[in-house]
Amino acid sequence: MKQLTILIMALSSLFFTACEDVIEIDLNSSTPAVVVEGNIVYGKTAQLKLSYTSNYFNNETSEKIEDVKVTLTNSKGETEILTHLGNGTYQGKTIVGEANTKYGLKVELKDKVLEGSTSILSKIELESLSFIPATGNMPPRPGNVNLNDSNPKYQIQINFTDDTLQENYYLFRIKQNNQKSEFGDILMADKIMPNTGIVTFSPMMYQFAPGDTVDVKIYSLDNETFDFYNQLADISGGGMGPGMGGMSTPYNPESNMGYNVLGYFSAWSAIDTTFVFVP
Amino acid sequence: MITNLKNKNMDDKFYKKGFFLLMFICLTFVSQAQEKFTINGKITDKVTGEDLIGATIYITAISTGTVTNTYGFYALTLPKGSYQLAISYIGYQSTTEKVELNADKTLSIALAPNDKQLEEVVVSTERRDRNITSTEMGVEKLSMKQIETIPVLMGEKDVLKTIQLMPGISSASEGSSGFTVRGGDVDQNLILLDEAPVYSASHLMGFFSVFNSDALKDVSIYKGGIPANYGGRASSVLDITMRDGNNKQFAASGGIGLISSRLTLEGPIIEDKMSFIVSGRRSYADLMGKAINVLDNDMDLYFYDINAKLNYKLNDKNRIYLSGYFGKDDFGFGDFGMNWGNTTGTVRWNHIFGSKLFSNTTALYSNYDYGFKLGGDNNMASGIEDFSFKQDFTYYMNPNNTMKFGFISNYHIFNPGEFHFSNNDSVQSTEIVLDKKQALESAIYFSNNQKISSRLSADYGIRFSLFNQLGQGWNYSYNEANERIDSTFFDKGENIQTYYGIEPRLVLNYRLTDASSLKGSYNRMSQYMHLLSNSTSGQPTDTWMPSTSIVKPMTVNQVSVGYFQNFFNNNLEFSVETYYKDMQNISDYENGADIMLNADIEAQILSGRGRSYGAEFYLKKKYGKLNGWISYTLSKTENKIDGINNNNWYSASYDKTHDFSIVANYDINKRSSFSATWVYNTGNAVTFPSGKYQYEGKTLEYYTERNGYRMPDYHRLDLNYHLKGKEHKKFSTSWDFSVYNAYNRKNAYTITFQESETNPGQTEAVRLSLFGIIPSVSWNFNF
Repeated sequence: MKQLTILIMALSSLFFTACEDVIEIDLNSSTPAVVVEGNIVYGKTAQLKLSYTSNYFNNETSEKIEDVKVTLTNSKGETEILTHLGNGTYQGKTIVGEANTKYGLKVELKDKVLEGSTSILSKIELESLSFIPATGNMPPRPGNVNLNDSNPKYQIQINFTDDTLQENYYLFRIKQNNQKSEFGDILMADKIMPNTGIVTFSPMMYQFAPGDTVDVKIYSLDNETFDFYNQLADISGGGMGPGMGGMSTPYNPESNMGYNVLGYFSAWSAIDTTFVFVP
Repeated sequence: MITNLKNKNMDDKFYKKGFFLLMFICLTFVSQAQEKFTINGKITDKVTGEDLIGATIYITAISTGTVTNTYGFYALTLPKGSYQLAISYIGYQSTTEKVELNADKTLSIALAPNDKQLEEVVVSTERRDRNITSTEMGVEKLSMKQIETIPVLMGEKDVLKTIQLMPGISSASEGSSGFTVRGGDVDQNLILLDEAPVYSASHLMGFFSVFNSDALKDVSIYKGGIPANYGGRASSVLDITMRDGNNKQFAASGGIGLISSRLTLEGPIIEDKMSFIVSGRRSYADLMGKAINVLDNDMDLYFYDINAKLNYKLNDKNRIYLSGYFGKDDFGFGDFGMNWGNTTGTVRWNHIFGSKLFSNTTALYSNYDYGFKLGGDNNMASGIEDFSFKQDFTYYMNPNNTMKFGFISNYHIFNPGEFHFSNNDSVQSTEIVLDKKQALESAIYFSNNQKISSRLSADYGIRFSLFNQLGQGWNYSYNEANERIDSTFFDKGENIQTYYGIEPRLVLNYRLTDASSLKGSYNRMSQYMHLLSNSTSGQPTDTWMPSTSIVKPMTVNQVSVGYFQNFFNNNLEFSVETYYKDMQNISDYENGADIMLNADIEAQILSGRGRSYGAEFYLKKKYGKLNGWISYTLSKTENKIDGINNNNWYSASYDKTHDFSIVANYDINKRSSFSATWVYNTGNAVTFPSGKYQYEGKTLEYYTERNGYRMPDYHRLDLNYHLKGKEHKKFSTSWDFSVYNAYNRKNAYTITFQESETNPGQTEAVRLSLFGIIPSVSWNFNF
């Protein structure tokens, strides 16, 4: 049929019209803002990096904030001054991260003082790690190297302790064969998991095959830190794919170090393990 | 005593004022002392029997007339006497009827389509000077003929794309059927299909609308001066009427296009009494894509929709209509994907009480749902369901006063989301089911269209809306950290929260000359439903929620002034309308808010103010070989919401300073015509980074202002060549050859900033252009 032939010829051109190219965009240069990257982990001393934001298309490394007074305190009344190691990096020596403890950080800049606080909640412990047959079929995607064959797939099942007396907030980072997941960090709070003392977490989006190297990190965060990482995942477009609601208008994740400050002073206890999957 | 005197004086003043007020109201009633009779009836198409909406019945001798309503009904009350009625409708042969009016009469007239129509294509079915004389303002009406010739994406005739070429209405994003009206967001448009609300008007992620043009009769969009019989949304009303079906003979029409094929069947079941129409569409891009190996075999990517309508004329006073729409989209890969769709159903009963009171009783059902398949037995779903009952009356009191009054009661059931997850081994299963929310939205209204003098006319009215959020369900209150601090359980049907709105509506038309008029309008609208959306264009995953004790209803006040002028014996229409709109309780989210499956989403909704103002210029040539229009809108839309942009005003993402469209159609000869549209608009307001920083080894963007940048300007030329096949007695065909984006402009759909692949360490801006030059062809038939 003549009509059909014309239609098919025209249709074949349809699927190739979208294209990407690099364009020039003029972005305003902004007044540099302070960036705080501070962290205290269970069993370790505090670390801090201080710097400024730089112009967007500028390739030079950002300006660091050096030789300022940084004070760390905790809810037990201990205080220490962090040592500047150079290049805007500061290191604690005496105060070590402990469970159920609140930490305060004070940064005295030339023109202003930044202050913020964060907490380590109860320590979490890994109970068991196992693999179960995968639920459903995930569409093949880059980085998921073993998915195109017909061998059985597995999903990981992680069991770890959870304090039933508090609201718990977790961040999961799972790597497969040393590749970061396109799903980004997974954030989960008690309100969508049963708070029964043991958390069983078995994400179906990761599908493993024997021989895969698996890297599992689980961070137990306080509520505010969880919100910060949630915002970070949101602006990075992590967690959701296209058609799952799209990304919101971009913004700066809210810092706990004051107004117009970027970054965060965080604290957590963590599970960190790497192994090769043998069925 | 002194007090009493004062009271007496006040009473006198009150009575005098009251007397004059009464006199004023009764002015138009005085002439009722004479003996009067009413003539009423229907104006229909002689060939198909379809009701004609907006046909004019005019008596030149006394300069009086009326137009038919949505059901083709008219009524005129006149003093006893002999009259010559002129009945006209553009595209049809005018006729005159002599009437001896000495009793109430029914006179239904069938107009024959004008053969000359083929030579003199008209892009409107309106009376020639209707834009000057009517009390409508901020209204655009589209004929299906107009929609037919306008080139659109992939050749799919589309009502929603065509209205975006009108002033004050703009596209939410490239190729999208989502639209914004006078600075109102996409959720502020009430879209009605045969009076049933349609909650998501898009197919294929928004690129095509759910409305199949073959099944439609009439499309009107109200941007301002919204009549009191409409309500529930803050910005606009898009009122779409489906065709009734040919009640004279069986007919079939359809077409084969690039994206979809369509077929319409219609005909009488009982001639002149009962007819039906069924119209269906199915896309087959997926089938074609698989055939030419562009799409994987596991891929689903299609939509279909069905419109059906049945009408039965019991007698001259009673008619019943049943109509329905059912549409579905399926998009996915293997066990994963999503699907969404609308279902609507309308039952209507037209009854004429006496000779002057037209009644329409409607029962409605509307449902919208979407779901995700998440592998195995895992799935997620969300939606909204409406049951409503509506009673509308039109009282044709006399040629100078037409009153409308009625009520509506609409019961909404919101399903904010449910998630079912189960593992193969059944050890684990998770179910998150958010509580359904219920609400009853009711309204009563009254309006009068009054010809006050030969120059001044008005349409004024009031609508009282009432909203009750009902149980069963929990009502929570939250602290600043968004944690629940209190909860109350409400039983089924128990009132949780009540809101009401008093919504005055007014349009004044002062006719300056025979060819020019000055109009002004004011309307206040209340909206009790809110769309939870992360996208700017309106996506199927958007979820509706009711106003609650935390999320307040939105209210909009709009004033508008316009000047209308016709030239060259009404051949050229010009208008300029300016408007100012104030929007209260518009909403947005806190940063990082989880919209999906969040029982506490209310706590993360921020509310604030919006304002929009602008001027719309419109020049239209309706007749002749070359016809079309030019529209230009200059506007500004800003929001101010505490918690966003440091609490300062910022541009709405869909704010477009300049929005310009040219639509031109040229009839080459009887068989062929050529049409072109060119659109230009300022790019959407966007948030781009003004700096960057390192955090945990990643480069992050630093933002200083919400929507402080602009996407590049958008412009595009589309062309269409329409060719009719050779005329057969019982069969006709036509071809449409079109080119979308004829000069292959790379309009930016998104701009992302990413590390250069060729020069690592260097960040660059990457533009994604969705549609390059797209030729398309469709073949249509009719028998």
